Amino acid sequence: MEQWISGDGTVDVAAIMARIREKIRGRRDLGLYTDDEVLELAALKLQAFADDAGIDPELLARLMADNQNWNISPDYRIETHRRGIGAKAVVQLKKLVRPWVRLYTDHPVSRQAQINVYLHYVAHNLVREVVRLQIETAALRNRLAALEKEGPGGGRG
Amino acid sequence: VRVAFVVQRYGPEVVGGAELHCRWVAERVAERHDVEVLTTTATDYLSWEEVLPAGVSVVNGVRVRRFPVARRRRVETFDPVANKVCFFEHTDAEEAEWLVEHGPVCPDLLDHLRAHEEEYDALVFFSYRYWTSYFGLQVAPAKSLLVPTAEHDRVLYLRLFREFFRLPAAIVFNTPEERELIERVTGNAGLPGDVVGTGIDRPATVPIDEVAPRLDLLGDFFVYVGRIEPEKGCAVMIDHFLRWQRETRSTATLALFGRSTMSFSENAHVRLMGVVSDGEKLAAIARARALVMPSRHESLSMVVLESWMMKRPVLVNGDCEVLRGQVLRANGGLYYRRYEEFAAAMDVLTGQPAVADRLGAQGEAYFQANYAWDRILEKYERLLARAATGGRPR
Repeated sequence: MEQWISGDGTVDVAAIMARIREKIRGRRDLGLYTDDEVLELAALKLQAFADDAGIDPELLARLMADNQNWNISPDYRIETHRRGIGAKAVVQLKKLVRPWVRLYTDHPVSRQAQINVYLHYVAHNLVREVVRLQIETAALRNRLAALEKEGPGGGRG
Repeated sequence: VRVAFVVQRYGPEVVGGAELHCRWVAERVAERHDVEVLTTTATDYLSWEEVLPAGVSVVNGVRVRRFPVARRRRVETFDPVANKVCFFEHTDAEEAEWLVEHGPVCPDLLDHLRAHEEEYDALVFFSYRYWTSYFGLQVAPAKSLLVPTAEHDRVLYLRLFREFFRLPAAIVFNTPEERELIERVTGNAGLPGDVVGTGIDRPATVPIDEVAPRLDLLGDFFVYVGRIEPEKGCAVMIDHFLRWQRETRSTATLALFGRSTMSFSENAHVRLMGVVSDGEKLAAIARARALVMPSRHESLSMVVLESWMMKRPVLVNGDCEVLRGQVLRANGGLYYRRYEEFAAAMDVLTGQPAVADRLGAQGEAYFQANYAWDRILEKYERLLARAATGGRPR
């Protein structure tokens, strides 16, 4: 039993939390993975999927970030590749038309943005669970192999 | 001093941390000053439906003046604009639209403030994010106090609040973390004000020995108190608890007190206790191993204070700066950021009852030193005097 209460009868929360974190780090030596390590492995797997799918690396970086800057938005910047007066006219025309376009596009685009967030969340969590299960399966397989080596009645006798 | 408290909803029938906070402070300040509460006729913040009659009434000895709400909140119009301003690039006009959709739009309250502002020496606004606070505070900012009750969410990042936080004579922060958060996010360093928080009203009767057996809470149990919904971190908390329980074969129970808006399978280890009286709630906390607070967004967790008042430790979500800061300052519990820390903390709290009891006692000492009503009211007196002199410290 660990001693958490100091001589003067007080308990230091920061010290307990430091010990807890230390113990969690120690589990790595026993071949047990922390949640952070599972996250790292899951990120590698997601990256591998993206490579296979040929996704633009810049988009992938945004998908892996901790925000939602990758998502679609009903807003869009009005631009043109033209130059001169023609360009101004085109931009003005597009600006004029935009409210009517957005009248029809805002709702479905917003809805799609929410669906994207949900699917992104589900996919990331599923991959994380798969990684966790793979680790557990590997550990169990190793244990089984070790037990088989010992043979019946082996080990502790 | 004549003081008006302005709050979006008010009354014993209103469920909500900021509103309860306001009511408790108003009732205490009313023992020393002439207090009037200006509020709406609504009790539900999701609809702003008018439930209570408009006009003047008295609630627990405090004069309350209610004004009708001009428009209901509708999911179809609120959600799209909330989604837009919180997650996407947007215009100032869209932020203004969000404020109206968020509500409660109450022009009569604003008219009353404009017409009678001179009759009040100080105005105290609760919760920065509501229409009533945003526009009401601008009527007489020099004699206004703002109790922001800000959480670390996307609304705080809206541009319309940057200037707003510079307006009041002083800000009544709940915690040092809330102050740091507001100053950082809104780019307003050195805002005038003080960290105050709130005291806790203890009911006359807390049937400590009677509640746990009556509710069949036998053996080791943990409690959660509040709205039971995923946004409050309850889904993750239940998942963590069941995983810990399976791994350790613990017989401990997690008892959830409050109204549930999420579906989950009750079993022998996770039980929904529903809504109980304040006395019963405190009695259950007093007999629990610890209180669990899994929310990531809190400006001041009153149930954490209640737990310390009952000398019980807390286990909080360490991703919430406010909760982590409170726990570390009080030495009154443990925190977790992921499952492994949750499990390790549960092991300590269940495996070493003396440590849990000590953490609870330290929490209670911190509560008495910082959240006893005398200390809270002393700070309010200073801030009200400051507001009454137009923002100049007395």
